[in-house]
Amino acid sequence: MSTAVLEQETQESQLVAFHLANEVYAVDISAINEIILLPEITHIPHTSQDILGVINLRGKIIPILDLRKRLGLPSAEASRATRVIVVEQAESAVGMIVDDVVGVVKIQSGEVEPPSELITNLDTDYIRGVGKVADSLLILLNLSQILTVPAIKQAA
Amino acid sequence: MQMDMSEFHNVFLEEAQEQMDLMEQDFLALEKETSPELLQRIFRAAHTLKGSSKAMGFMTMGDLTHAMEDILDKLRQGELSVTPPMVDALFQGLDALKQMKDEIAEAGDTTFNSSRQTSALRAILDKGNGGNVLSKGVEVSASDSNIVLTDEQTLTLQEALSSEFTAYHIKVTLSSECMMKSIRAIMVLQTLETLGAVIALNPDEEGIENEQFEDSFEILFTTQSDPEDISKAVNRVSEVQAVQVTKWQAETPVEKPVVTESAMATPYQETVAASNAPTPAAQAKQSQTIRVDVTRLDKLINLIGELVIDRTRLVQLGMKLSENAHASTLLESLNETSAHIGRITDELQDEVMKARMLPIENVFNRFPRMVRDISQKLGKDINFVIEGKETELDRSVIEVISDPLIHMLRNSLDHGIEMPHEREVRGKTRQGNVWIRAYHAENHVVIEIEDDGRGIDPQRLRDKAVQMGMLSVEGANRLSDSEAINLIFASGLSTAKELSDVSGRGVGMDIVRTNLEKLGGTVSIDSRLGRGSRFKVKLPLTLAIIRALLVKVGEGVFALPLTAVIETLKIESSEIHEVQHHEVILQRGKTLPLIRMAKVFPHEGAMTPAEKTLAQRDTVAATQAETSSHFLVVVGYGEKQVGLLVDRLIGEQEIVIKALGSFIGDIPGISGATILGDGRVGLIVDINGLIQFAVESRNVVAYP
Repeated sequence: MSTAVLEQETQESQLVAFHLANEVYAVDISAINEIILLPEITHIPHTSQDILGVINLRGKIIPILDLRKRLGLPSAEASRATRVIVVEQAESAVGMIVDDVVGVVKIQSGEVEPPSELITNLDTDYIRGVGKVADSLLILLNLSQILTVPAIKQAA
Repeated sequence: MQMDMSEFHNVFLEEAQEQMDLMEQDFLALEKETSPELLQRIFRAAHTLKGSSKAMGFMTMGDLTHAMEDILDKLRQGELSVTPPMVDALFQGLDALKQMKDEIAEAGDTTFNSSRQTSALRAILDKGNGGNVLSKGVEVSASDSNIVLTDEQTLTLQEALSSEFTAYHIKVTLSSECMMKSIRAIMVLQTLETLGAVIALNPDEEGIENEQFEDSFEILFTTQSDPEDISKAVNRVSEVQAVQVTKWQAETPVEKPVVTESAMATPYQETVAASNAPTPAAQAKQSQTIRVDVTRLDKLINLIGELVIDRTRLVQLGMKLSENAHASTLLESLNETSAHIGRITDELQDEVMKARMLPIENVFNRFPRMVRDISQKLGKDINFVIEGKETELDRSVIEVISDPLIHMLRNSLDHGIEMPHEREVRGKTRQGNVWIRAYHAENHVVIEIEDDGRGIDPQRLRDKAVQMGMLSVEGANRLSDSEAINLIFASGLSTAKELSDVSGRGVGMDIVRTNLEKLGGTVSIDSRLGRGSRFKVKLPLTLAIIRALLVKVGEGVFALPLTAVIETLKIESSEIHEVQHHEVILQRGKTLPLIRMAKVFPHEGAMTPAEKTLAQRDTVAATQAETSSHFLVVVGYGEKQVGLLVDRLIGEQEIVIKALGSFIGDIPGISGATILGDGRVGLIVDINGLIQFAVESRNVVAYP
């Protein structure tokens, strides 16, 4: 009875935070398989613009998503800090390129607000909510949307 | 308990499938012959199925099989004879069973109402009743046995008794007029072997063979069948006058171990065992094969795929090392080891491939029934011949070839074979012939579907193509007969004057070809007007690993399946001509359309910075494309050829096919990816898709 309420109040999730265009984003740690350095990417013709190609991850073919592009953010040079976060969704893994990885943060469910266009100008479909950790804003991504929504088709 | 249930479910479903497959084949055979062996086999299949479905609680299924079993029993006893309506009713029963089985597989239970099928079977049974009754009486009485057991025989007997078998003393008396008593006696023994095991004889085997007995001989027999069934079976042998079946009284009572099995398992296992009546020989054979979950084999093949990649890599590393380092014993032993690993990987790959192989029988077995149904529907008389059904190919291929084959077979039945009277007019036999045959040729499996029907009229296809606006009149007339016949693979072309519900309209052969080519196969046709047609399908043995020609285009490596590659050429820029804005080269007096791979697979779009940094390394390769020498890979595209312009040929290699995955989706001209020896990813080209894409985007001469 009351324990259920209590649990919900104190529910804490662990997120992996990373940077994209000077903002801090986060995805649930349980969705992440691993974080790797940017490997050599094989380009695939005729795919949507935000799919950079595929990589060989220990014998598996993994598609690489340019997360900046999918979220409509400006492109940036790859740097030493650039990482690929490999997430798994519906039994298939996808790598997402991020500017750098901040680390693991904990957040209470009560500190997450629903996405609002006032806070961010990103497509709200891709956002699960906005959290506040130590005075800075954390944009929680909706992975299932990012990985299933039809990709942006190439400009004709 | 829950777990046990589902496990039994799977066993039940698998066995049911086996019995049904068997019944389907044997019902077909029933129309041609009614040997006791055949009848016995079908009866046993039905009996097994009845037992197991009832034990699993699928009563409707049990009742239906029971009705089938009763008919088969009457056939076996000679009380009924095979009639076409009977076979139809049996087939309908079988179809209903299949449906119920499918429902059980999907939902765990069936709600299918089979009362129509059951009563149809019962009606046939009732009609047949009141006929002749068994003329030979069954005598079950005590008898004094003259069989003396050796120690070895006693041991066998004890073993049998301890595993739920019952021992019977059987005295068979042959008719005194019987001319070849030994032969009859051997037939009796053979009949008995199907029901259980013969332990001992009086006279002994040699004695029986040499006819060292008057009219009767004795058998000690262990079985799980009823004494009544035994005497019925023996009575079916001609010239048997009397059969006495008595329960064997052993002097030394055999102690039966208490059987402690779960209540759930016992009834089911018993029924199955009883009906299979395994003889010791059959049991010994069973233990030599095991069922393996196919996903396990798939995993194995994936692992071997990785090994194949690493082997290539190892060889490359060894080569690089020997370029840099001075020859040393260390390097030598590295090369030796890598060669050895290479050989072992090859063998391992071969063996696991073989483990995944299935005889094409699995596909072909469905066809006789289909041919029967269709020819009945069309009113045609067709002799269907299957050849080479033992030809083995990979499971992955087996799974996908069924539909294209069915389509071609239907075409032959529907459009190929003429009506009986039409055949007579043309001086052919009333009965048409359709062959399907499979055989191995090099690294391929060839499947041919041939008929001796009316053949394909090239003129009609030309007319049709003009009528459909696919070709101009001149264009159509320029086609050779064989080229015209190949129009059958063009989409939207059906030459049947009237549509039929058997093979439908002209959406067929183009899809058949596309599907086969997707599998890395090819299909060709050979037809002579009035004489018949032959479709020839060539398929790779497996879909998991293929041989491919690796080529470099820009900075990317592409794999061209070797099945499609005809030859490679080196050409100069000056050899490329332009005909109506399309590039071609002249090759042996013929124009060969060109596709620039770099144009079809451009590395276009604004590159991300991440990509740019990577691309910089390859700028040398990019400029190389501007030089005047080109490499051309000539690939087959149905009956036509196209030249693919590439920057460099890398070589021939075995590659492991990997899917690009749903996140990327379908890419025109690309069928998958593979991991190369250096760890990079190469893309596998779908030749058919590539050409189609190029034609659509006008990079190549559109074919007539």
